[in-house]
Amino acid sequence: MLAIFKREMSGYFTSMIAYLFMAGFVVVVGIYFMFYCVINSYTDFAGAVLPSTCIWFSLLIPIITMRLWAEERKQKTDQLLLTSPISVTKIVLGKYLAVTCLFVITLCVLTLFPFILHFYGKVNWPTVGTGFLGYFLLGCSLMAIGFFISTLTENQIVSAVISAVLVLMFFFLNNLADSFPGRARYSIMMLAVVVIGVMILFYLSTKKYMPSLIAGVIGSGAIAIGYFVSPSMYEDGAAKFVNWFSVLDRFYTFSDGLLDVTSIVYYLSFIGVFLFLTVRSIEKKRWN
Amino acid sequence: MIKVKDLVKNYGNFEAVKGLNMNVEKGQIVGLLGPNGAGKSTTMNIITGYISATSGSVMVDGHDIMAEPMAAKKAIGYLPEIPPLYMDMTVVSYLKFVAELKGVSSKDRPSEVKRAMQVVSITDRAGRIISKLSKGYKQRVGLAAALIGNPPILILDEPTVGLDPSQVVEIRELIKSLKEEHTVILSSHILSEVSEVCDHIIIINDGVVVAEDTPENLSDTYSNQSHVIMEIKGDKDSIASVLNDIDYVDLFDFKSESEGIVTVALKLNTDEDKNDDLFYVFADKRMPVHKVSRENLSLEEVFLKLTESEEADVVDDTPVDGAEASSDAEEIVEDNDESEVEE
Repeated sequence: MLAIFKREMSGYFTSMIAYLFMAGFVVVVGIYFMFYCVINSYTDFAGAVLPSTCIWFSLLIPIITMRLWAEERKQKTDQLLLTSPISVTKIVLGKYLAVTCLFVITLCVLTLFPFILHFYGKVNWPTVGTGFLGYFLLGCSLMAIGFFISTLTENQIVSAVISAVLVLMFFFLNNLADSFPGRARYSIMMLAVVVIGVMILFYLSTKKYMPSLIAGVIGSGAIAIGYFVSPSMYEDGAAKFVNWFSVLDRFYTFSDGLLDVTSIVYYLSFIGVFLFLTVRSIEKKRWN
Repeated sequence: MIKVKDLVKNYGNFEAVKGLNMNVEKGQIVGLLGPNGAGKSTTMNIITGYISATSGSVMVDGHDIMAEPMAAKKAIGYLPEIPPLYMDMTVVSYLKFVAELKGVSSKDRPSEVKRAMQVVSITDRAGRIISKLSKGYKQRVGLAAALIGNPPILILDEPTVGLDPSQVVEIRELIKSLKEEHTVILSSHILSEVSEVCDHIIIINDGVVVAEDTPENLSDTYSNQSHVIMEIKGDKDSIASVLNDIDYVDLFDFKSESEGIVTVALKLNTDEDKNDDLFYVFADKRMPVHKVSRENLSLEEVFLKLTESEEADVVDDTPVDGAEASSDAEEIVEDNDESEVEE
């Protein structure tokens, strides 16, 4: 795992990618810092500057994640990694650790901004701390999505575009959720659509009817049991369900200065799920 | 060392490997031979654990590649058709990375990298960026990477493709020298290479093994008893009259004549060995026989015979005409040579 980590890091710094990524963040945060803090003399760095820059993740994150696996496949170096005595999980973790490490280095550079503020005004350091922690967790979650997308294609550009669109989608999920009708039957209908989607996915990946049928029975059974146990659970259910995926909402608790353990757990499980999907996606290619 | 049993690999509805069986003994250099798309690379990719088989088992050095992938992969050094190189790394940093991947301890890493570089003679290019190396040197770096950790088994997928003739000779010599310490599986569609380097040949066609043996035995097995070449001292007319009187000679054709020695090709209507008999017939007529031998098929001809699907069905009872097959084989070899130069 350490070998993969070191190789990735050296790869980032021998090419332009690491510098481009870091420079991108510094420029974006710098512009907002200039606008909020310098021109408008506002010292709430974590509450104002960091949330405003989040939308730029959609452009900056794919820069480093697009190549993670797509490049390996294109250059055929995945043959070296997958035939070496090292598990796919370790390969994925090594690579993921490298991107998060690059992000940490970037965040270290960004801490210069509140330090500059510190000389001219009063900075609320605990809020800055939670803000950066949230910023880090949000970035890591989006990088996990980007990594997963990178395993789906050989083409880096395709990987980058899909990642960017997906990141934007995750950002706007809460706006989408607000427009859902709140009645229980709509929630049930939506869950049914999800179950059908899962059934189709099962069929496409296994080409057998049985697994998708089992998934369908379990899914619809769970919906029915849920309805009989607590019908009120489905009130606003669709909105709740979609909101669960809204990674940006969770970040606001951090930028407001709260250290919310459930949000930390949420981000970690979000990362875990996407890294798991990444491992499965790489494994699946070997079975096809 | 390697046991492959009933290996099947399907890509969707396409069956790339259809129940392939093979056994590779320790210390052998085995050549996997087959036309493009026969399933050579797929088989190698399954043995090395790069892709999974649809069914069947692969045992590498006593370890099942599916059940104990780590132990099995540790025993293999793999050079795929396109060497898996990180173009932005230097030769030495790349090899150090491979050594770390393969679990060589940090203490042994420098000496292991140095050894691998020495074996493939790239020590003088150690500090060069891989993307700046010529194709031949890139191939060597790939081979050095396969040698790292001194694995008992080396699997080399078309190791000489795209190299210039002198590099081809060098790589072949190198592979031969590896025999002492390693079991080598080598795939190729260049027949001369396989017959020169390998001591055992497995011919794959359409996803199954169609023949396996030593190059010499393959040639013997698939040659025809019924085709005989004779060199006789005498004139054509008297030789013709003698041959016309022999009831088991179906056809004969004079090939050449020099200094009174006539070379004649015979087609017999029997598979029995008639060499002695033919000798005595001409001896009785006081015509000296300088040579009488069965017409041997070259590896090219065996290969063509086994891999040309139309003829493969009738191979046992209707042999292809030796001369014709030979010219076809030459064409194929020429094609290969041309493609090498182009690449």
